Amino acid sequence: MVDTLAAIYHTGSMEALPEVELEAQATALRKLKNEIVGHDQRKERLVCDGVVDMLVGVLSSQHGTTGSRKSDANGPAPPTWSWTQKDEATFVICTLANGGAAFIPPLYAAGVPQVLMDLLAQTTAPRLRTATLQAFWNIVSAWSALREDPGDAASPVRVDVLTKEGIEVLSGILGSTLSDGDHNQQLQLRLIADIVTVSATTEAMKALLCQSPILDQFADFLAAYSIASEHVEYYGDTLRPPPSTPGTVTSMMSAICSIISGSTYRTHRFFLSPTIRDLFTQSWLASSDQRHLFGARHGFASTGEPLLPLLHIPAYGTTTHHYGSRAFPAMAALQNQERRGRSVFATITQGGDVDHVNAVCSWLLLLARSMQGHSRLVALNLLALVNNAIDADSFDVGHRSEYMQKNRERKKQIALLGVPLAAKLVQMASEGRSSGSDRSAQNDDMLVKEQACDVLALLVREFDELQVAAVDAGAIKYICPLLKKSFDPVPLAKPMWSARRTAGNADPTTLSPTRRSGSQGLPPETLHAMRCRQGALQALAALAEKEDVHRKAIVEAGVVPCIFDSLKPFPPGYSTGDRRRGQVIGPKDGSTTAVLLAACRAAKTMARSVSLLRTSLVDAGIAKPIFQLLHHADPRVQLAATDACINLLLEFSPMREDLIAEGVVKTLCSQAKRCGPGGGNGDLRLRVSSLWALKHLMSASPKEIKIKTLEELGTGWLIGVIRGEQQQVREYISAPGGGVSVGLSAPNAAGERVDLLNPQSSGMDVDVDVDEADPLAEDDDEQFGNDEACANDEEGDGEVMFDISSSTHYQASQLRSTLHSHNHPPASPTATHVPVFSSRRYLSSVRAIEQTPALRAQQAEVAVQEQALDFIRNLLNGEDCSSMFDHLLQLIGGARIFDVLTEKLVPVGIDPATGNGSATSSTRPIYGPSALIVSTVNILTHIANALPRHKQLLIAQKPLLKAWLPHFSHPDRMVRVACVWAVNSLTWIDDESDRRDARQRAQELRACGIEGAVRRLLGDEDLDVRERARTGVRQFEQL
Amino acid sequence: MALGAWYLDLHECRHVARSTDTHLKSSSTVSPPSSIMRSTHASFTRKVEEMKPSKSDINWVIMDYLVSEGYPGAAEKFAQETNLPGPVDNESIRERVRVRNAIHGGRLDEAIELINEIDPEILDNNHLLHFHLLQLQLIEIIRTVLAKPGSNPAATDFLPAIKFATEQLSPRAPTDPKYQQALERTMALMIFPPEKMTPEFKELLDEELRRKVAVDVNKAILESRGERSEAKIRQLIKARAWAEQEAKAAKVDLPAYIPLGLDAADELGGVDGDAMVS
Repeated sequence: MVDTLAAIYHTGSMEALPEVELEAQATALRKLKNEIVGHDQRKERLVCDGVVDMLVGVLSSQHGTTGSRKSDANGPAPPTWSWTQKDEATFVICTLANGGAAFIPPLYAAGVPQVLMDLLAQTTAPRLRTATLQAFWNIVSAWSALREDPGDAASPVRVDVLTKEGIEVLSGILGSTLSDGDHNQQLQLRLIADIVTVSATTEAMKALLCQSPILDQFADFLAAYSIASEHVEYYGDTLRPPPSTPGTVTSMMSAICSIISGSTYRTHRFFLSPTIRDLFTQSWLASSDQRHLFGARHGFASTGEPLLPLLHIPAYGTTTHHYGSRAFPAMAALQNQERRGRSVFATITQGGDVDHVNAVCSWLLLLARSMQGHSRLVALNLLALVNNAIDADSFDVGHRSEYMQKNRERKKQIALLGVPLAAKLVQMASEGRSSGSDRSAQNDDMLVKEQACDVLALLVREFDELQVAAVDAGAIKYICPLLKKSFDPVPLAKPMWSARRTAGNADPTTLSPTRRSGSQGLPPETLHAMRCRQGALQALAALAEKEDVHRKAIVEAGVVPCIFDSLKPFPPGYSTGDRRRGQVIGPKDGSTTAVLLAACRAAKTMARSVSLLRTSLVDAGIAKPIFQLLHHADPRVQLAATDACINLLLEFSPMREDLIAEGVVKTLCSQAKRCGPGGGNGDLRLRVSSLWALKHLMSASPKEIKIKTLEELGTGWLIGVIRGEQQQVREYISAPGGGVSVGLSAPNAAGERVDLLNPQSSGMDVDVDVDEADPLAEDDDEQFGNDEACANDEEGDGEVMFDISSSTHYQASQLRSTLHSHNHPPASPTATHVPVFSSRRYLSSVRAIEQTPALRAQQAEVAVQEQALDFIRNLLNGEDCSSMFDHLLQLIGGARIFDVLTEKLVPVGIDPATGNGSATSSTRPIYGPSALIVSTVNILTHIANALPRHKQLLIAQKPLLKAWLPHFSHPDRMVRVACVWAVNSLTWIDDESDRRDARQRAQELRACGIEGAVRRLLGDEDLDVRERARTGVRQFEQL
Repeated sequence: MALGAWYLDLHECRHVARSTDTHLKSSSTVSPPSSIMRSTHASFTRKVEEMKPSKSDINWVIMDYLVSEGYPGAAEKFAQETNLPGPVDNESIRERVRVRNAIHGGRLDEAIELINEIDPEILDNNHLLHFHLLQLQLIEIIRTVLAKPGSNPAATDFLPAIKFATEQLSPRAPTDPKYQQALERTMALMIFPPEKMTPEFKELLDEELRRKVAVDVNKAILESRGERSEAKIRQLIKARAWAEQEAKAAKVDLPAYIPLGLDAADELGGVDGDAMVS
């Protein structure tokens, strides 16, 4: 073998070699290839001998790329030697990369991925192209296995493989015309799809892929496939020929899944891509829009006959929808508000195209039903992603329109046709049923086993109706054995034998990086167990999200100890390099990061059940490993562990004491504070979760703990956080003159400038006044029963309340107005009374909401502030309310406290519509998000519940009372209820001695108009508000 | 000649079909035959008579068989006779034929190189197949030694075989018992003189083993090209056997024995029918 190498080296200097020597080199390379195919040990030795550098030399030589070779692309030109040697060199790389993760570091060190990409860009010879793609794919797939390895996180292998140019090259190949039956081309398509699937791991990479034509190209192929399989009768222009093998279709669907996962915008990009829209609009000869026939009610009747079972879904009501847990119906009142947080998308989706969305979902269901095994799983994965992106809390809003009805039909269809399919695949995986004995069937089974649970989890996450459907299909019964099995010891492949002792290259560290092979990573068997475990935990977490019954069933299946075991990372000192010395890492030794994340999630959702918290979870001793994970090196794990801690620290959790004893207070406080100015989004999420956990810790805990925690956090820091001093977001929100003037506008997907908060600055004639000037938007609101808008109208006191951040009526309406009212003059209403749909505009708004940095920063900031305010609220709650408030007064000072509270209640800006000089109406203030106002007012309630002198102190804050007054007519009922509660506390007579003061307080309240505001609430639409207001009025009258 | 081979293979398929019955049954989703089937034998035969598959379908199946099993010449002739379009990718069929001929001829090193020329992935990923080929190669090395005139080969004659086994086969041996067993048995060929071998060792020297491996290789090549790894007719026969068994399990009234119509092949049984080798 060394001789062969020498022969190649001899001819190694590439410049202008005569044909003869090139031929010799090609022959040598071929010999080399035959030597190492199937012999991993020889590969290793070869790398030590420096083959990688030599191969790079051959591949990057310019010889042969000049002249006519480039042009006669697809023709079966006779191979010249310069190309044959490249062929052979590529094959050698293919084979090396097949050797597994150990070969990746040297290949990387020599820059092989880049060399291959360059080669791909230059060549058009089909054989070399296929070989190059194959080599690239082998590298990428080994690389992805290495990424799951819990080993050193700083290795250079963590960088992305694909570059922008690389993506262009791939997309160029996808775009070239297919000649029929060319097996090389089909193979290339599949390889490209596989490469994309595996390398789209980071957000940045996904974004790049989404911008490139690749996503649309895959969508085109998928559409072409559907037309060819006669799922859809299509009368439009002929599309490209479909991929001929089913395997390619599956790979392409996985590639789409990889690209779009994790982003609502990218998902919209996929299902609104032109071909997919055409697929449904061009399938009728009739001129009118018949797309509703694709929906659940008509069972995808594209060819005249329904291709899916017809579902009759009554328009009114058999769906029971409930917020939160059935065990705690009373929670509904609280969670209602929580859900509103997600309604931004729901609100714009009303501008979306429900017929199209339903058609896409039915279509994906049809694809899934027409496929088997892993392909079916991938189709379901795509369906789950699309369905999640559409995100409708639609059936919570009511059944008032056809739009809602169609959304409900889609949900029901997925519950009846999609979820059982996924559950069936989980069952197959769990029972180890095999679909065949040949290699491809076995590979298919393995993939199903690894991914089925994951897909099920993705499908049902966040939708209680689908969770119920999954459990009805027996999901828990099948998932739990999978989880248990993942702890079984697996027979690991034994190392190969070698006649000589391991090659005597004394110290591997002296070798150059291109000659030194890396660690093998986790053994594939262990990796497989890890993936199964991760999926099972993911699925359990999703099923346990809402229903107590499901959580109980999971406990009864006896998997809580498994969740506990999954919380254990691999021992820190372990190195996969030890494998040769017989120390093998099996599935029982620990868990990869992905498993840890999933286990934390499962622990979190399981801990939502109070009874489990007090029984099985405490028995399993789940607190300790979670506490240890708080100190894990990976920030993602820290965050997940903190999330899991939140519920463990509730006042009725028996684990609270243990965690405190472990020192959870100190850890959480330092986590909350660890976030420098300009810290990333991830850090803010950690801060939110930590504050959330601390907030829970504050409720009903002993005074010492409260004081200690406060000390640990530092009052100055806390006040700073509440005021938003650290994030500078205030500048966005409350810059003088209102709104934002700098840095907020960014080009969107469609290339327009979008400025969320200052639409008029983008040069369009935008009018954000929802109530008066935007008839379409108003129409929407009535049509679709937007609660907030209705509430707004009823109150009609001339003041529009805008939520400026996160949960927000304001932004949503405004976006909609940007969407529809300007470039679309009110068209004649279509069947559903939805304004004419423009996918381009729609997409750009989805993207703006998801990706505008300022908006995201704001949302994060508001979440932090809310938790910080609630922290104080819980601090003041309970027996020692008065002493705690005294403590706060002492530490912070009365003036400062009330200043901060006032600050949260006053308007944060002026409505830009009136602020920019149109000046006809009075200026309209914009208030902070309702979540913050609720928290602030609740603090007021607690202060008012302390001693009489505290009440007096509060009533003396004139600016505060003035700022408070407008919120009595807040569109959000939660705010109104909180306001009345606070008044009730203020007017409460503590004892006889307080009666005089109480009367005086009532007079103050009357004087600043608050009593009047309470009286007006006697006629509120919300029962809760009315009842509280009645108490309030009675108390006023008793004084 | 080609047709003779074809009949023989079909006959062999029938055995394959029988042996895989149980497996097929487990993955069945097909509903049991309808009650119309519950009638007398006569009506069954009548139904069979009524069922006239179209000539072109049958031709297509035959063509498919010729292409995937690697009979390029026969395929071309057949295409001319039946006016079917000829095989699309004749070169790829010929590649497979070359590989098969090399294996049948015991030229394993050549076969391995040819396979690597088609796609190095095939052997690099399918360790079992690679091992089988190397095992065959070892057998061939031993065979040449054994075949040498003279009664007892000297121990040193086996050195090349031992060297080959050490370098090529033994690294893989400890990773799985099946490799180890196969290697041990092959090495045992060097110990016993051919006439004293038990049948399990004789089997290794039998040329039938070459054919078996050649079939596996053919399948693997087809699979690597994303094509069906088996001729359609094999699947059809398996499906038929499965259906017959299902029907009997469901107590549908059927004749006890339904011939495949391959009885002619039974007579050919003893002949070495693989005429395409040469």
